[in-house]
Order: sequence, then C-alpha cells, then structure tokens
Amino acid sequence: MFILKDEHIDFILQDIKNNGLENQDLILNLLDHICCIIEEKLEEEGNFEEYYNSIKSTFYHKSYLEIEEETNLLLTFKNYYAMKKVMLFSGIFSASILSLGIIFKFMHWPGASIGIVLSLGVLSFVFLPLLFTLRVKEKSNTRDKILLVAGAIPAILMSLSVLFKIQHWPFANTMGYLTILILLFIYLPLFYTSGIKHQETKINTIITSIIIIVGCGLFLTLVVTPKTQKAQLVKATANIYRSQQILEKEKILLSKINNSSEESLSNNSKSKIVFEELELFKNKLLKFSAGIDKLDSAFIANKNYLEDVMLGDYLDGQKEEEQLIKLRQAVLLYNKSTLGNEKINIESTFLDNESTGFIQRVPTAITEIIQLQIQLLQHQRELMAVK
Amino acid sequence: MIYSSELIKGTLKTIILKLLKDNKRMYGYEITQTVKELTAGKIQLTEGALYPSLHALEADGLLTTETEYIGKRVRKYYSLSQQGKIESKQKVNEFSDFLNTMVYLLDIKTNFA
Repeated sequence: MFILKDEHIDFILQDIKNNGLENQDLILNLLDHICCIIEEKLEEEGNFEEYYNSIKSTFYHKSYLEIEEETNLLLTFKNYYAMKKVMLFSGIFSASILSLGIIFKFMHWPGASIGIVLSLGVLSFVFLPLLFTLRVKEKSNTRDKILLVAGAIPAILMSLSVLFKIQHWPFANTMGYLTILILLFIYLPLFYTSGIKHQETKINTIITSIIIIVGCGLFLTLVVTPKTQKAQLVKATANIYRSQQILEKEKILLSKINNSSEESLSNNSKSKIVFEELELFKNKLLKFSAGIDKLDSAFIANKNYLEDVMLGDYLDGQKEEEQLIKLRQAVLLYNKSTLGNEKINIESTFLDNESTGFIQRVPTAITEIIQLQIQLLQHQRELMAVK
Repeated sequence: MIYSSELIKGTLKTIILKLLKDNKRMYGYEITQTVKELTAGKIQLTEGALYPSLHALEADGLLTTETEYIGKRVRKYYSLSQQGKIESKQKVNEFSDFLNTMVYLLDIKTNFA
C-alpha cells in the first residue's frame, strides 16, 4: 500500500484545480476518491506520478471539467422543473385572481383592488420573469435570446404600467409610452426580420406584426394626449378660479349688508367655524396640488395649473387623514345644529362618506369646498335680508 | 460482461439510494467499490456519473452529508435524509415494477420464475 504524503495530495489538488473546476465540494470529493484509489492499488515502492497520470484519464474523456459541467447540468435541471412549476402556479394564480378582482370591481364588492394589485404584482415580478428566463434557457442562438429579452421588457413594463396607473403611483404613463416605443421600434423589427426569412414562419410573422401595430394603435387611440391633458388642467384650474371669484364677491356682498368691512361672518360663530375649517383645508390642498398659498389671477397668468392628483395621495399621512376627519365632523356638527334652510349640502362630495374621500380628485375637492363656502355665505346673506 | 453506461444512467440514483439505505453512511469511493463487489464487477460506476448524481441528490434534499478530515484530505460521507428514505423505497419499487414490465415486454424467459 502506497502512503500518500502531503505534497502528493497538493499535487493532485493542483492538477484538478488547473482544469478549471470551481465547485469546492466536487474538488474535495474527487481528491479523496483519487487518493483512495492510489492508496489501495499502488504498491509501496510505486511511481506516484506515473500511476496518477494513468488513472486520471479514466475519470473523463477530455478533462475533469466534464464532471463539474455534468453536475451543474443536473443541478440546473432540477431548478428547471421547480421554476417551471412556480411559473405555472403563479400564472394560474394571477390570471384567476385578476379575473376575480375585475368581477369584484364591477360589482363594487370590497377587496377588488387588493386582488388586482396582487395579481398584477405576481404577474410582473414572478410569472413574466420566470417565463422569459426559462424560454431564454431553451433557446440556443443569440438572436432568439435577444428577441425574447426585447419581448420580455415591454411585457413586464406594460403590466407594471397598468398596476401603477390604477394605484396612482408615479411614472405609470411613462412606462406605458416606453412599452409602445420598445415594442414598435425594437421588438417588432427584430421579430419581423428573423421570422420573414423562413417560408414556414412567413405568414405568421406578418400576421403577428400586424396585430402588434394595430394593438399599439388601439392603445394610443384610447390614451389622452399630453396636449388634451394640459387643456383639461387649464379648464379645471380656470373653473376653480371662477368659483373662487364668486366666493370673493359673495364675501363682499355680505359685508356690505353687514355694514362691517372686516368680518363678514362675525355675527354667526357656528358658520364661521365651519367656514374657517373649509378655508384651511382648501389652502392645504392648493399648496399640495399647485404649491401655492392662494389662487389668484397671478397664478393663472403665470400659466400655473393645479395637478390632477388624488386626494388619497394628500391623505397618505396620519396628520392629513385626521384633518379630513376633523373637517367632516365640523361640517356634520354644523348641519346638525342648524335649521333646514341653513344646512350646507354635502351630498356626493368628498365629505359625504369617510371611506370614499380618498378616491376623489383634489381639483374636484377644492371646487366642492368653494361651493360649500358660498352656500354658507348665502345662508348668512339670506338671514340678513330677512332681518 | 460490463453493462453499458446508458443502462446504468437511468438506475444510478436508485442504486445510490438503496446502498445508502443498507449502509447508513458512505463516501464516494466506497460506493463505487461496494457496487463493484456486489455485482462481481459487472457494474462499474464512473466518477463522472457518480459525483454529479450525488450532488444532485444532495441538492434535492434526499441526502445529508458530514465531512471528516483525513490528514490534508476531506472525506464527505453521504447518508439518507428522512425524505431520502421514502424516496429510496419508492425508487426500488418503481424499478422492480419497471423490471417486470420489461420482462413481459421483451418476452424474456426468466430463470427465476
């Protein structure tokens, strides 16, 4: 029996490593295996190097690296099945939860948005990435791989863009446009040129290309163009400014009747409290959506416009939510403590229902506040007139 | 007669699992030697097939390992995990069933019938 010395072991280890093996576990396994053979088969006085060289070739055809490659292949193959399972499951999951979410949304049942967000999230971050990773693995030539990546990016972007859009998160529109751009100017040319060459895929390539172009066209038809969007904002801002002007005029009229130039509502503390609460909230919304303290002619002249943001975005923090609750309570208290013709009408406004306040738009909410303020002043004027 | 590597490839995992079931813990070289002895040299596992399979079985959670230092070398002992024990039984049963089917399919006159 041959006794292996440390330098023999180092020699074998180095030889294995020189073949480019990286898997430490495998290297140590092979080392021990070779040592076992040598210790058992080689006579005490045998030539180590000669014997080692004669047995090592029985381990492989070309080099030790084959064993590591085979190991990696088996390990990826195992992942391949697990990935495929996860992909199928996540696909079925998002398709069914999305369908349920849509049904819930149309029926106005609770939980619709959770279902939609969850399914789109799983679709964008689990199903689509897995689908493309697996497909890329199956393809051998580089062109097919690039084509898949060029298809994967717009698919994920599209799904994320819809998710961001319904959640009112930023960059939803940018992602939508980016999807169209990549699809039309990167994916389509690649897809068309690679498919048109072969007789058997020619027709399908043309049909799919037409569907992609028409699909993008339909999408863009539905999209509100930036110009229209701007025009809508201008209109909404002007609308609010006009309401504000009516409010200011109403204040002046009331103070004229009142014979006091300063406080138009001073004689009636109940309406004054509500009026001030509304004013406070309105100013905060103005600050939030346009970054200004006061809506005046200078604002319009400077071509500043109110952003079409959601009230829910403003109410994200604890403090803001408390403000809304406080305002609502003040309005309800006022209506409770006044007679019928003095009540202000909050039906279908953002103050009507505590839970639906979040899904209102800020410009609409500002308009509603101004209208409520006008009502308060008008009630007051009516009281004065009766006197 | 030494069996072709194609024949052995499909049964390698079954062989490893069954051996580990009978011997509790073994290292790579020991597995090749045991198979050689048991089959009178008819089945000779190659290192190029054995170690990839051992690593794959370990990654599947069917095998647990412990390492021992022998001077400068590290010896990795393999044994069955709980899941491996179940899998071992299933693999052997599956192969036995397969064998019966093959006997019938290839119309082999068995001398043990």
